[in-house]
Amino acid sequence: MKHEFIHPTTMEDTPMAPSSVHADSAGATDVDTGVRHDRPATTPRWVKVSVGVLLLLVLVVIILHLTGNGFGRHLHMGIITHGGPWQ
Amino acid sequence: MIMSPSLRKLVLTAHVASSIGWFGAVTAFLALALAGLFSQDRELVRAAYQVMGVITWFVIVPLALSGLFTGLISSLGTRWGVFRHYWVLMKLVLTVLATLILLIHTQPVDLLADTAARTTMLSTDLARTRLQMVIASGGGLVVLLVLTVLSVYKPQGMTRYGQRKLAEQRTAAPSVDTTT
Repeated sequence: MKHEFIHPTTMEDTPMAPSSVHADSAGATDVDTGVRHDRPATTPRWVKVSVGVLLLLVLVVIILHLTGNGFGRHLHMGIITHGGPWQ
Repeated sequence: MIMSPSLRKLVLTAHVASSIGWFGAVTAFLALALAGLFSQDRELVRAAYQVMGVITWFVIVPLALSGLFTGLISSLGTRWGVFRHYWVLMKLVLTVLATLILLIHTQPVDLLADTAARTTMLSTDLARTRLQMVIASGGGLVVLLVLTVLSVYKPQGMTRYGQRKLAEQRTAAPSVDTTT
């Protein structure tokens, strides 16, 4: 296992949590957060996939609005037809 | 500033309660939206949309804002931070987006509630807005489920900012090898 980023004894020495981390042969695990700090510093795949899905959804919403199927058109039609609560 | 354990648990309890409440309220909202869209009973439809207006303003919006607020305090007051871990950052982005979309949808909810109060609410009235309520609340539930999954599983991954802050802390406090 790589130890590119953090030494196994990592956060044990931080002033915030002097006793909240234990070190073992596999690396350091923060007891409070459960996070291991011996992983390489790359963006995880789940983040890339999530951001991709999020951007796709935003794109779909924008396209729906541009084609006249979005939220604004619904509301305006409703107000025009029924007067709306602001009259 | 790191919170004391008792304060941290208090804020976490408020955050979990708000989030659970938000999820439950949106589920109830979806049930009402479905009843309003498909029921043939006009009185039931009118009642459903008026209740949707009430629970939106007095339950869903307060719980959403409370969930966002307590979540921010929880993050800032613990070593998780707001921008240090991808899962926390993802939760923040999704919660802010969900809250904004919720606030935008209060307008059509008000329109439906007002129309239901003033008219007999024919089945063809505001059909697209009524369908929109079902889609929006269904999508909202999916987002809330994703938020729950992120909170429970806490997927690994630190942001560049988190890595930098951690490195700074290591520099500030020289490492001591405790394995020996």
